Order: sequence, then C-alpha cells, then structure tokens
Amino acid sequence: MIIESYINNGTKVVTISGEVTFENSKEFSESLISLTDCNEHIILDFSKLKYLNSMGLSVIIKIFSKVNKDERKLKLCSLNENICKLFSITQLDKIIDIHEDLDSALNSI
Amino acid sequence: MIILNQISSQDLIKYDEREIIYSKLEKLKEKHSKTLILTDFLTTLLKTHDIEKVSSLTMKYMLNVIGTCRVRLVRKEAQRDSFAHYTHENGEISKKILTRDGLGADCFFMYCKKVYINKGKYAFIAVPIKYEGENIGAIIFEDLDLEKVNTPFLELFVLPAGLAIKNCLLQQQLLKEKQIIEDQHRKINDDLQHARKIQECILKIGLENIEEYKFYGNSFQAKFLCGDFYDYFEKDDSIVFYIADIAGHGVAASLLTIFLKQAMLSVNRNIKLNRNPERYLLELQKRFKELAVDNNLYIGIMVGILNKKTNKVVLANGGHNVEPIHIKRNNIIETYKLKGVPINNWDIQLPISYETAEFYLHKDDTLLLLTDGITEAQSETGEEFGISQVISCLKEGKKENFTGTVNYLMSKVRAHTNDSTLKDDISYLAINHSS
Repeated sequence: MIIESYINNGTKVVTISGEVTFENSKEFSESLISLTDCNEHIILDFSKLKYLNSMGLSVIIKIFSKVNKDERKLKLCSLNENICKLFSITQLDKIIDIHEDLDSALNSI
Repeated sequence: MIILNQISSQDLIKYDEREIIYSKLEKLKEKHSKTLILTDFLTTLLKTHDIEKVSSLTMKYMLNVIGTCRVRLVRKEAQRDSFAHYTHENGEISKKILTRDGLGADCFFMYCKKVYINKGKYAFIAVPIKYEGENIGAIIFEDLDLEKVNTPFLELFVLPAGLAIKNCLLQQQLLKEKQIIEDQHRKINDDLQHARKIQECILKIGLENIEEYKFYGNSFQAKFLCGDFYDYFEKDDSIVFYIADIAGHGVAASLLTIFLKQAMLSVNRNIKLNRNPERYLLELQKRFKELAVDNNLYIGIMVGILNKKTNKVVLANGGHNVEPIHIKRNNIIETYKLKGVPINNWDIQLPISYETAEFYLHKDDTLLLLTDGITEAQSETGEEFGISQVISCLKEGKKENFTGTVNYLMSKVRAHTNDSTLKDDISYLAINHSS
C-alpha cells in the first residue's frame, strides 16, 4: 500500500494505492490521519485502491469527523464497485460526498 | 699463558661484536615470539564465542608472555552486580561468582584507569580490561619478576580481550531477552487458544433442529480469534436469528462477539415481540453506545425473525455487507439487497435506518446468511470469489439435503483460495424449512 499526496488548487489530494487489509490497517490509519491533519479541503482518490477492509472504513469515518469539525470538506472519488458497495450498504454515502472521478470531486469544492 | 699470547686484540674486538649481535638477536627473538603469541591470541579469540573460553584463553596467553606466576582474572557477568572471579594456579583454573563486595581489592583494579604496579614485598601487576571506556574486568599477576615485564605489551593483550568479553556479554543478554520474548509469545498463544475454545463453546456449530426448521452453521477464523458471529433462539412462536461481522480481528473483535451474544439475548428477554427485527437493532445500537468502545470497532449485522406459524421471515440490515440468499424449493435463487447503518460508536451525524425485507420460507426453502470472508475470498491471482459465484455454486451444487449444498459451496471456496491461509473470517448460517 502506498499513500501519496499533492496540492491541487488549494485542495489536498491523497491517493491510496494497493489494498487496505488487517496487516497494514494501522499503517494506513497513522499515515492518512497525519496527511489529512492540515488546513486544506481533502479529496481521497481511490482510483488505485483495490480493497478497503472494515477497519479502513473506520479510519475514513474518523477523518470525516475531524474534517467536518474543522469546517473543511472531505470528498471521495473513483471508488471501485466493491468499495462503493461498502459505502452504499452502510449508508455512509448519505453523508460522505462520493464522486465518480477526481475532476468531478475537484469541481465540487 | 701461552694461549693468551696467541689471542690478538683484533680477535677480542670481533668476540665483543659477536656477543653484542647475539644479545640483540636474542632480544629480537624474544620480541618476535611475544608478537607471535599475541597474533595467535587474536586469531584464537576471533573464533571463540564462549565467555568462559575467552576468559581462560586471556589468562593462559598472558601467562605465556609473562612467565610462571599466579594469575587471577575478574570480569563482569551479564547479571547486574555479579562478577566472575577466576584463579589460575598450577595449570588449573577455578571460578567463583561474587558480588561487588565479595571482590574486595580486585574491584578497585577493575576501575583503575591504567596498569597498577606494586613493587613491594608482594609484587603484582593489575591490568584493567576495558571496552570503549566501560570497565569490563581486570587481570592480576602475582609472584613475578617486575624487571622482566613489558607493561605496554601486556596492555595490547587486554584490548582484544575486552572486546571479546563485551561481545560475549552482549550475546548472553540478547539470548536472555530472546528467551523472555519466546516465553511471553508462548503464553500469549496459550491464552489465545483458551479464548478460541471459549468462542467455540458459545457458537452453535453444526446442525440443530427447531421443530420443522433446521439450522446449520459454522465459523472459521482467519487469525487466532474470530470476529464473525451468528446465533438463533426462540421467542414465543418465532425464531430470532442473526449473523454479524465485527470490524477487525483479534482480541477486541472476539470480545465483542461475547457482548453481541449477551446483548441480543438480553434484548430478546426485554422486548415484546412485534416481529420487527429493527427493534433488536435499535436496542443493540443503544447498548453499544453505552459500551463506549473505541470508534474503530463496529458491527455489521443482519437480523431476522421467522414466524413458525406462518413461515414468514422479516429481515433487517444493520450494515451487513453480504446480501441474504433465499434458495427456493424450485431452485430459484433470490437475494435481498438491503442497506443499513452498522452498530457503531462513530462521532458523526448519520441517521439511523435499517432496510427490511419480508418473504416466506416455504417447505424445502433455505435462507443462507454469509459473511464477506466468503464473497471476498481471494484466489492466488487476487481474484475474489464474489456473490455471483456463490449463487452459481448453490445452483450447481443442489444436493438432496441443504447441508450438502452448503458444504459444496464451502468446498468451492476452499478450492478457489487453493486452501491457503484465510485473509478474513468465514461464517455461514443456513436455515432450512424441512419438508
């Protein structure tokens, strides 16, 4: 799993590649929480993420809570079918903004 | 007299010169042999990893250099305030373990900055053994001719001795720590085995009949303990059942399975049956919030109530991400895609809602509940098993009894993963209305 980030027009885009599993969920949590501890709006780009486990979902929720409290925005984009299903079944897509691609997510900010 | 008259003065000069040369050669020979001893000492020390051998080698080699006398060596042991005390006498080495107080004056020599020479009646030389400034030990020579001792040469010996002893002490410490870790690991494993047995005791594994309904369930953990759980129990004229997948693995998730079992039974006792499984989820959510566990932990759960009189089933989904599968008697398979919020302690404003489905479990129908360890089981190439393949397997594997069908599905999952180690827990609960 690789996590990278860059700034695009004042928005921090964080790209996660690979899989979030039980083995690397702690590393995922620490890295993502650290990267998103900033002043910018955040977009999590899942275009290269193949699998997100239940603990990974908890991390996303934790970040969403923090970002919300800071009155910033969190968007997700490019979710694959399984990850999309996870957010849909748990009804998290009702409160977390999910976009089909990065451009759409950037335009929404 | 005649002989004396025959020796010339030139002969005398040549004799004197020869004596000087012989004397120089003797000195060179002695120095050379000591250098050879030192080289041999270094070479032998490099091959020795045993601290006792290093200690005795140091004494023997240095004795060779000094000559016959009494020698003793003191050095640190791995244990705090513990010192090894060796005495070499008449070719034999004896060892004692002493505390700092027991060392007496030898303790002082350990902390000397340089060689200590006592020229009195009881002459001795004490050479401290150090490693990068740390006081490792000391070697003390008694009953010797101080005139013949080359002190700088002695100091050359203790340098590698200090390094070798320190190396052995560090190795001992490492082995000790490794042993502690291995012991703790073994204990943790034992504790986990016990915990696993407790989990197995509270899980209803295998086939059970409740009137004309058969319940068939099993659970396989990926790691030591399982984060999946299922249960079923009667409530008046109904049977309440559920399957759950707790986020994460390990001790925390497995402990929550115990909470889940007890909480659901407690809700069941206190609730007035209204055949609405949502009520169970709402009560469970309330109790989970009161538990105030880490918000990383949450429960995805599918609850159902089966009315034994009417065969009607009502399902409600609390965030369980595998759709229930209804295998009908005519081999038609239907799934119910339901959404719902998991049982959680999240710090977000997420409106609680649980979608429901209603249907009838006619004779010969089977309702199959799975956890995502089955649908997400991966092959060696990373391909997931998937719900479509589950349905295909259930169709092609339709056996005389429903347990055979479920077993067929599980064999296909195992084949898909090539029987490799599970990445996630796998559980199923099948409910059949027998004909």
